[in-house]
Amino acid sequence: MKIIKPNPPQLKDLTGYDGALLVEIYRRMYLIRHFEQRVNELFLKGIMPGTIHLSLGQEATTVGACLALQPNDVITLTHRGHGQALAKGVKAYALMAELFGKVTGCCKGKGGSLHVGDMSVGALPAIAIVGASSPIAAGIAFAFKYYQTGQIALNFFGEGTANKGDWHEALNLAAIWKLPVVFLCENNLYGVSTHITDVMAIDYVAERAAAYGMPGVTIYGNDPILVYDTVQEAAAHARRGNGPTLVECLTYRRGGHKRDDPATYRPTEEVEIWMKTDPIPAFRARLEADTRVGEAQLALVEESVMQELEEAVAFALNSAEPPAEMALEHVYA
Amino acid sequence: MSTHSVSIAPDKETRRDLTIVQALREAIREEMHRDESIFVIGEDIRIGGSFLFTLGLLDEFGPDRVINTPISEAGFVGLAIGAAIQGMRPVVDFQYGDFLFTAYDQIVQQCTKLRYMSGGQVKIPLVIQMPTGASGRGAQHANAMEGFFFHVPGLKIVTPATPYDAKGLFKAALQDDNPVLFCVHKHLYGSKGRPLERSSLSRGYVPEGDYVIPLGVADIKRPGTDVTVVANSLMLHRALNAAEDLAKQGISVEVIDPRCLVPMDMNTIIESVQKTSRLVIVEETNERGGWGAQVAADVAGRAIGYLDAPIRRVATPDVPIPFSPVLETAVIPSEERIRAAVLELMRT
Amino acid sequence: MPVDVVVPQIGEAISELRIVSWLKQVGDSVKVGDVLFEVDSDKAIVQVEAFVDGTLIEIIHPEDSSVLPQQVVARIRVADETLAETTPPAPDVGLLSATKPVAAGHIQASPLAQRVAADLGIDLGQVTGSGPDRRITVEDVRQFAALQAASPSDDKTLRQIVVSPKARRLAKERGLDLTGFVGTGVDGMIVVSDLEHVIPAVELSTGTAGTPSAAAPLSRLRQTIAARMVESKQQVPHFYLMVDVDMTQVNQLRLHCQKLTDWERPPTYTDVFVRACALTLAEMPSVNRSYSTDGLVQHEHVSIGIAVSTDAGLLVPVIPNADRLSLRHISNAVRDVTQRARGGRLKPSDVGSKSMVVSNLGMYGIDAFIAIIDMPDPMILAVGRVTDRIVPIDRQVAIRPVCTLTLSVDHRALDGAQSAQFLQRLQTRLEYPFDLLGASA
Repeated sequence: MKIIKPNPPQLKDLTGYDGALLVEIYRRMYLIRHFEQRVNELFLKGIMPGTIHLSLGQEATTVGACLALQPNDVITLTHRGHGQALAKGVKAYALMAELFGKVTGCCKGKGGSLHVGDMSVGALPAIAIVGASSPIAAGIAFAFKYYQTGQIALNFFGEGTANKGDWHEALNLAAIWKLPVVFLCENNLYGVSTHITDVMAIDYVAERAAAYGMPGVTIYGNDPILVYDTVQEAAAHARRGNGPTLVECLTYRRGGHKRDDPATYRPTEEVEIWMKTDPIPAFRARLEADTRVGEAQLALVEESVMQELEEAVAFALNSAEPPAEMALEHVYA
Repeated sequence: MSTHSVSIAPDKETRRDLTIVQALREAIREEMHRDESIFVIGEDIRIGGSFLFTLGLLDEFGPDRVINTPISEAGFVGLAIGAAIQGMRPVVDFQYGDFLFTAYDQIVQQCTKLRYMSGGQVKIPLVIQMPTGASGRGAQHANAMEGFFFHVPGLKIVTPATPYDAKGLFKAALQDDNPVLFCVHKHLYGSKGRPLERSSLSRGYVPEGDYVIPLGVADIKRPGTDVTVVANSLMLHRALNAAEDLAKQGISVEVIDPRCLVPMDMNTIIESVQKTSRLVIVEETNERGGWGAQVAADVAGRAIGYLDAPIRRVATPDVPIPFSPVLETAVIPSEERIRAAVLELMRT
Repeated sequence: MPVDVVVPQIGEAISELRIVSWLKQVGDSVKVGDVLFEVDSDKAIVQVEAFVDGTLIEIIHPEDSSVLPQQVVARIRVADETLAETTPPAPDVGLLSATKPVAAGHIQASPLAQRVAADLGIDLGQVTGSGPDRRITVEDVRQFAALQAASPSDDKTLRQIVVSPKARRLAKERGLDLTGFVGTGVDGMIVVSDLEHVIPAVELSTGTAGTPSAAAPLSRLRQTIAARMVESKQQVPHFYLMVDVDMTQVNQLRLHCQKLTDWERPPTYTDVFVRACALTLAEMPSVNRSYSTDGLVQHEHVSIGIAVSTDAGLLVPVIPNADRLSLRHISNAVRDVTQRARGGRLKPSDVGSKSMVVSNLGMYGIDAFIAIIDMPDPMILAVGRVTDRIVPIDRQVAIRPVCTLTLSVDHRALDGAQSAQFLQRLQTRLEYPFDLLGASA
């Protein structure tokens, strides 16, 4: 195992970016962070059923990528999909209700934490089988290309997925047919407890792009602006008909693989150094300095997010359970 | 409702007797002309695939709609799923249905579950055209594919035995908004001009033009009164041959072709058992958990008071399929085994 | 030494019988009362029971064989018999061949009766002889044995019988006891076609709607009934006598019996008529005879047949020696034999020669009818319903319960005067039923 250290680049000047966009980036990251923390609490209290995989610490990658897309672009989600869903625009109350298995959930309680999504905002309900979503994302892109709609597909996956057969087949198909898809790797260094350098003979996932004849890039994933820029470029590349790109974002989990994982398998040195790179306070600091935004607006955003979360929890708890007959529905179209 | 397979044939001169593969080609061409969201994807399609189902399609519809793939079954099945989610109607052509196992996860975990898990947000109209069954090529190319997917909720399985059925059912599959496994026995395609298994129905009249046979309706291929024999695909032909033989011994066999295993038309089968009081099921799937076990359980559960004899299944024993021709013949249900099963039940 | 299993004498005619089925196989253990085989006498299918405990060691005549009465068809090794490797058992009174006389003292019994009694282990001293001089006949021995036999169906449970679901369902619907049926289906299960002699074929077929109705093949029993009815109509010169009987006293008698604690239920009209006919016949032996081509045959005893309608067809089981049975015994016997007839479980003792038949359709509201003689009986009595009618009594109008009797007589056996006398005496007995109850009422 090799320690991979964060390598934040020089922070970019924000003046070229729309103020509202910057605020939205912050809002969504903040929303994800507190949503996940709230979910954690509810789970610890024994109120929330099922299992949860929290995306604490990876907000910058997720939000940067999703906001770089157009609303009618489609993303595929992973088992660590709460953040991806919120970043793409799934409503917090619908997501919360889904986690409680209520009929008002985004999937009517039929999917749960591992299968959240909402096609109306371009988030395909998550596929928890690692690697299986990559060919599907390629297929969605195939349809976009066939009908020449100008939309693209974005495939979220973790670095461990890059060792899966389906993933390789998907990248190859996307490359040979120049499908408009962005393969976005959230490399948080660990597949459950296994360090990526133990299961790859190369250092970075993006090195594999060359094997398939597509561009690949590894970036620091905790800078939302950097992610935003990279994904926008990859999306444009796809929209121009030039095919897929593999974008690898280095980031880190602030927490275990899933709820009850203390993650003691991570070396202290690595943990310490990455924990200092929390993307949210870092971005907040940049925005505080930006004249268009300022502290007051940030505080307002934070307050409204907390309000939204409280309402989401109340909504979820007060919602009805799905009727028993619903267990037999949605099998066939 | 049960139907008797009556295709009204015109005069002999104008009669078209087609093989199954010819009927399928007609169906896919007609549908692809009708609906531009249909595309065909698979390996070696440009030369027609293994059984010539796709012969000529590339020339007619072009490379955008007839797509040749690398050897990446999980990849292109997944891709087809994604395309279907996004509104297209893919037809995935498999050279041998046996290769679908490498995409089993995509079928079972994604294809048949995404609609359900999403609370109905997506539908996946996908047809997989797959040659199935034993054909003298050894165990890995001999799987009765319907058995491996029979258990999976969320899909449909069609196993036509005759050219007339094949065309009408294929059109139904292409028009269905759900994943459909369309399994034709390797010996029934007739890609060389005639099928390798012969019976009175292995080649037959196929009307021109549009007709659809709804999925989930069985067909009484031969009416009778003494015993009900349910058989599909290749086994249907063997059952028919056995029935003709048994008729000479004065035994009237009713042969029912379920045509579709999922959904299965149990009402026709049960009506028949109520009439005959005896049931034999003939299947190429294995003893343990073959689709016939489900039929037996359903009949025992719903009509036991009408049975005057035990239910008999003639199935492949729980072994991989051996290569040596004599061994393959020994394990795949034969006309002889079918006859013996019927005679045993008729003994009084 | 093993015990012979013989074909019983069924009726007086010595005609060929067909073994329908073996219910026990070689090697099976048998108990007294177990049904061994069924034999078809063209009047009914009769079950033949074992009269010893043991093991069936040999079947000499298999199913479908034609056999004669008294013919040995199988052998049973008696349960407590020691095997041949030890010294053979000393000859015993119970194991004699037919040629050796029985030291039976003053009891008179035919040689065959002695042999059968020996085989069955029956003490002749306990058997009532019905022959001349109270001579014990084979019939007497068999009847005695039959009465001794435990009813087989009590011990068996339906669950142990292997039967197809459809046959089981049909049997249940018809109240049919499947004990003793032999199954010819897969794994020896009883299948629907095995029930054919009890359930008419037309009820077994389940045609679907729309199939043209076809003639249903007749069961063997129905064929027999049909043939015999035709024969009787063609050959017997019937003449008929009718009389109306005032049933007031009979009704009183029935009410009286109802009050008696040892009667479970009052005697039926059929019971009463059986007893009345039996007593009257016993008094008039000249009427207790049948016509045959060899001459008039005198019946040695008085046995009354009763017409029983079953799903299979008309069966006519017999109450033997009805003149010797009290009304209560007759009532029990009629009930038992009726149940057995409807369940297809008639025994050899139920089927045999008889003096006449009583046929009662009164329960269906029939005023009167004319019955067809069951050959070779000389008579059959058709009983109508008992209903209030206006009758003149001492030139006054009165209302009394009245029953019309119609006696059909074979003119070859009996003439008008004799039969009229019989009917008159019967009427008198019914109107003044002092001796109807009988000894142990």
